[in-house]
Amino acid sequence: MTLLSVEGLCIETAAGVPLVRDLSLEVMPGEVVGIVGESGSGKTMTALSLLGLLPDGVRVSDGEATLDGHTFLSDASFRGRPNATMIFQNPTAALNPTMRIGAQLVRLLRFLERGVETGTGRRGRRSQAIDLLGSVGINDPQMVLGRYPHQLSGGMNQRVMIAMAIAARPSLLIADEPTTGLDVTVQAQILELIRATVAEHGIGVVFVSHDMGVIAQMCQRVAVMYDGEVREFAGVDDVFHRPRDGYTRELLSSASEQLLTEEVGGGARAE
Amino acid sequence: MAAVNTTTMLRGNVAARLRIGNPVAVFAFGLLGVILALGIVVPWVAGSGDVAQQNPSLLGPSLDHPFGTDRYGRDVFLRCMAAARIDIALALSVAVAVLLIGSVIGVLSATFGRAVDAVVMRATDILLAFPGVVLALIITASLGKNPWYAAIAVVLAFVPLLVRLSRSKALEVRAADYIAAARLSGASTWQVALQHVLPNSFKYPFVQSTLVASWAILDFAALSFLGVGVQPPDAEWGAMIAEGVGDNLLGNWWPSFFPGLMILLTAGSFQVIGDWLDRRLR
Repeated sequence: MTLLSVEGLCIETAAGVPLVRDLSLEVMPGEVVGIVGESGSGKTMTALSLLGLLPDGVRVSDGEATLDGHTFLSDASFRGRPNATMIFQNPTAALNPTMRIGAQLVRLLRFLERGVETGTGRRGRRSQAIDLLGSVGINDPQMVLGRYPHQLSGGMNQRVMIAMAIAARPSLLIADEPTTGLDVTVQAQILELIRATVAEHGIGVVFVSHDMGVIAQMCQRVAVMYDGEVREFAGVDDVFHRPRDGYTRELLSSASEQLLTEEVGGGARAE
Repeated sequence: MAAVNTTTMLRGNVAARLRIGNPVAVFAFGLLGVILALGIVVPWVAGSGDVAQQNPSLLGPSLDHPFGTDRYGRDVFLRCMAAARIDIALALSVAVAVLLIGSVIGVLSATFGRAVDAVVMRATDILLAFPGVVLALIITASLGKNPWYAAIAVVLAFVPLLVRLSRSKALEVRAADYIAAARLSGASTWQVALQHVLPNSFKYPFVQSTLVASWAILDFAALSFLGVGVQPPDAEWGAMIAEGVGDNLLGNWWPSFFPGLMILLTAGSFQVIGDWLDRRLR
């Protein structure tokens, strides 16, 4: 059964310039699907459109998207919030700089419990927050709760973001270049964390990146985007070893230099 | 999975945070502190000395009367200090009112989409079309001569400036990832506006509000000078200048010079403090 299916998604600016044309995509439960392409190819717009987060003056003009059998996007109108969350490219910018980590987590937990009389007080939520941070490999959650985002490293903030993303128990996680702003060692740790977390909870992932190495490491299937169109959507082995599209071949040859010099940590891909 | 250690991070040093640093700013804080302290203490000790006509008129500055006496035989120093109380309290409360009203309206305008934004922006356009003092003069002239109306008029004259400023900063903040993240985690537009956008765009209107305090002193003094603010016999720097200008012709400079000096020093101190805050918070 398909978890997420997107059919004929079109995105355009208010002036009618098309940014994404007739995009189709599907994600199975527990699967990591990559979207790869150069800057401006529409991969981030695709990701944002699935969450209703498109910037001002950019809109979905056509298409349908279904998550868990629930159609949340059809005929260019957004119908209800999909059960999906997102982690961002720059984790430090994705946390409110004027609130401590603890306050942000507690606020999120309070929102998630809305309407349900759970009887969980301030204390209870705080210990839930500590558990959450512990589950993303943060050693001393108590300390992190009292900090502001700018007092933590990018890797630490990305862990907090992942904790916040999984707290909502989403069935889909959208990762928009989640490791681009991090150094290579931390990048390997964060990728490992995402992989382990989604495997544990059976969450489907749309993984947006321009880094072929990271895509090869993380994904089972890849959509290669160029100029707002999907040029190729196939298993990661097919895309890397038997690319059918001319643009994919170009992209791979330009990335191969980088691939040779870069030590790909972890090695095994999640299957 | 690698565990990460944060115990090595240090909290900010409180003493270092409270240090002013810049000597000019230290001087401005000191000067404002002295004027404020004198404004509180002197009228309290001297009672109604500021309105009592108990001295010969137009005595020059001396040890008994450091700022001299005016044409009605009132001590100019006592009047200046009684006025300091009114003027500084007014400057601070106008600044706070303008800051709160302006930043909240600006943030709501930026967050609540085009229709609200258009209405708010046209309203500020209309208010900004009048020079501040003229607008305040229109308001006090139509409502009546009363220091409260003058204060409200000054607030109204400065609110549009801060609405504009905080709106433009809020528009920047609104595009940040954490706002998207907040929306994604279900925050309503009100929550996004007041809990996420407002605290993160607040420092720019906050800095500006210290400058508003200095402008408020100038505008309020101007209104009192023109006779629509504080009414005689109460002391106010602008009103005192108005009372003293006629005496200049005969060489009696002190009844109008000293209140003018007070305006200069107080408004200047607020400006320097604003500059310092601006650099400090950047």
